[in-house]
Amino acid sequence: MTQEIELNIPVRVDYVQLVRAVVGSLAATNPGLSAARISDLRLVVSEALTNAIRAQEKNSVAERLTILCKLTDSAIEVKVMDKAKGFEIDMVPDLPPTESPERLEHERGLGLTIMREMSDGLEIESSSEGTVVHMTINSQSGKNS
Amino acid sequence: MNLEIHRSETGKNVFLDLIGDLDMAGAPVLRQSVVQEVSKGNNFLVLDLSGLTFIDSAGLGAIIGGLRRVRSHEGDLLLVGLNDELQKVFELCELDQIFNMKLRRELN
Repeated sequence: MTQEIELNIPVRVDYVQLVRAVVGSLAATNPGLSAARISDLRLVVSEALTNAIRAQEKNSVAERLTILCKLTDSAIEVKVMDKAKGFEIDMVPDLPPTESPERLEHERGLGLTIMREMSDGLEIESSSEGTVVHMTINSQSGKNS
Repeated sequence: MNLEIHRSETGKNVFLDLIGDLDMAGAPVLRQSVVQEVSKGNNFLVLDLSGLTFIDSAGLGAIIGGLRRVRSHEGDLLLVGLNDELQKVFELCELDQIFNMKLRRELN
C-alpha cells in the first residue's frame, strides 16, 4: 500500500491547521500508526511548516509552499518545501539553560528540538534556493507507540 | 480549531481558559490577551490548558513571553490542566523546569 498526496498552500498561518488535519487523516488510514504517533506527526509537520512560513515571510517570498506526503505500510514520510533563502543548521544557536533568567528572552528555537525528538527520521537540506525538511514517522515503531 | 480565550477572575488571579489550537495562528491571540491583562494591572495569571487541542513551539513561545511579561511586573503565571500530550511537549523542551504547573485548577 502506498498513498501519496501533494499540497500547495499559500504562505498563510491559517493554513497550518488545515495541513495538520489532512496529514493526520492520511496517517490514520494506517492502523500501524497509533494515535500518539499521529499526534507526534501533526506536531512535527506544524513545526516544519511554521519555520517555512516564517522564512518566506522574512524574505518576502510569496510562492506557495509544497507539502508531500507518502504513506506506506511501514511509515509516513512528509516533506515540507519552501522557497526562502535557506539557513545553516549548524548556525542555529543553543538556548540558554532553563535555570538562567535569560531563558525567558527566547520565545523561539524549540522547533528543531521537537522535530528531532518526535520524529523517527529528520533530514534538512537547505540552500539559497530554499529548504526541504524531510520527516519520517515509522509505523509500529518504539517511540510512544 | 481557532484559539478562543475565556476569562474569569477569583481574587487577584485572572483565569484564562485556552480552547482550541495554540499554534502560529493562535499565539498572537494569547499574547494580546496577556498584554491587556498586564496593562490593567492583572499580573497574576492562571492559564488553564485543559481545553487545548494542539500546541507547538509557536504556542510555547507565547506562553514563555507571557511569563516574562508578568514577572517583569512582579507577577506570576501558573499553568493548569495539562494532559499527558501537553506534559510530554513541556518536558521535551524542559519547560516543566521553568513554569509552575498544577494538574487541576484549584489553587489551594
